[in-house]
Amino acid sequence: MVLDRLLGQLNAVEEFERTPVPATKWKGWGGFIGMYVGEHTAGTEFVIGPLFVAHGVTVGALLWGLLLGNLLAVLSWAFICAPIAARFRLTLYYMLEKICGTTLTAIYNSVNALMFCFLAGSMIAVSTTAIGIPFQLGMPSLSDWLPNSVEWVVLVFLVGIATTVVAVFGYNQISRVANIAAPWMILVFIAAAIAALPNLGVSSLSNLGEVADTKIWTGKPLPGQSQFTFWHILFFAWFVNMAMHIGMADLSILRYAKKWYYGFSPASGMYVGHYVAWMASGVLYALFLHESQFSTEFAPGPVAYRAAGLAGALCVVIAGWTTANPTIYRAGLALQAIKPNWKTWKVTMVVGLITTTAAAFPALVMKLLEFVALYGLVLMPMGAIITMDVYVLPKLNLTSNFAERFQKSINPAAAIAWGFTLVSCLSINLFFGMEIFFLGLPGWFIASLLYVVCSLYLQRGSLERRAAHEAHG
Amino acid sequence: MKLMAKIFSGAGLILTVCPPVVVFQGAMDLGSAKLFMLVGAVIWFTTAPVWMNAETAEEER
Repeated sequence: MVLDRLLGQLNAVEEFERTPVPATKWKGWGGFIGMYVGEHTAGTEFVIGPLFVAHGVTVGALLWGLLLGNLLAVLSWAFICAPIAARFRLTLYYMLEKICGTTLTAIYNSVNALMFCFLAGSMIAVSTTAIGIPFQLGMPSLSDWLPNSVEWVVLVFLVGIATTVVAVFGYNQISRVANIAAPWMILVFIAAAIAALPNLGVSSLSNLGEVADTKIWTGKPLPGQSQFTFWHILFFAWFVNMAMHIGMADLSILRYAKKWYYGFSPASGMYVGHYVAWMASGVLYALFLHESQFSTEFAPGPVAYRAAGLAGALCVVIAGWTTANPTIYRAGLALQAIKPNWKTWKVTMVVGLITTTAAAFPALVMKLLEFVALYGLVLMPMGAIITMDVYVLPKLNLTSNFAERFQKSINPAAAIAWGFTLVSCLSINLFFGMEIFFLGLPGWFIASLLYVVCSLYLQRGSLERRAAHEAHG
Repeated sequence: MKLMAKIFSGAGLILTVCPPVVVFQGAMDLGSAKLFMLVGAVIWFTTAPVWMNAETAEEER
């Protein structure tokens, strides 16, 4: 009954999935600025900031890397994604169908859903670290990849089941909780960091720099962690949302923008969430390291609890939960796009089960930096394909929207560009030792070049055959 | 009603942010600040839904 009502509500919502968003539905600056702040001040921030500390970044590298990396991310949204969103006003999925074909889009959706499951899994693990505090749960450490206790697995499953059930029955409610929690969470991040500073030895603003250098971002990685430089921070900040800007996933959001230059609105999320919140969570972790004699335990819940008490632990639970929940829901939608006749609740339950199983493995949290870089890298080539299809192919007198135009379920040029880009990036990683954080940049050029060259070859052949056929006919 | 809720919500956020600043200035211990922050969270989450959800619903209409 409840499900029927929910499905009725969902069906009643007009999302313009296969039509351009009409002008009457376009939105102003305010909604985008608020949405991006909320979206980028989430559970992941409690992990990323501390991992920068663990990777031994220096103060200068962090400040400048985040400043410039976030700027590049904003410019990518503004000049790559938003103009296409405002011109066509279509979802990413519909554009992919027109360019790449339904089969290739289905493959993209499956990969996307799997990535969403892992991301949501890491957030369930983050929430579990806070919920486990009263049960004195043994927390995972930085080197843990596998579950370290039965209690951890049991609690993760309980949190995962609760999250999945809410995703099935109450998506609207959780999205409201997320909206309400967003301003409070941002302030808890900042407040907890301010409260932690005196215990790190900061007595006034004058010795803040010295303490930051010697006790927080010391430039020395923890044992077993690689050394991060300015370049790691810059590229990570730029590419952490690569799937959204260069990868074009945010076409679905920015198509509602009145003007293309609303593409600058993600600056709010970048500089609040990916600057202030990352630094604040780094401060909290530094305090934890000093008070625990450099324990290798890595658990955002106890870290926030130590600095801000129950409010801090609550913040971690809500941040993890409000990130995991819509992510599970989105993964369900991505899978349902492949088989529309599958029941929403069944798909969400399956997705929740995969997510919960993944959450039991602490590797998802400990390797979150590498995972989000991989997530962006895997989905990015489709964004490069769309960019080339819109701007370059018409200039070469080639046809855009190949799959729609020639009634193909797979655009071979897009399939080759996607597959070979990933193989090329893997080869660059294996044979040249380039770390995953940097692969997005050469990857974009490889994908773009491959798509244009393959389209040239493919379409010239098609057009010649068609011309010959017409001449004989 | 909405105005009252907004005033209380504002107070909740002030209770979240100000105590840590006072701790930083050395005029309050961390334990008290944690308590104030918790009270701030309770006030925020009980009052913010009264006006935030109403405004969201109005915008959606």
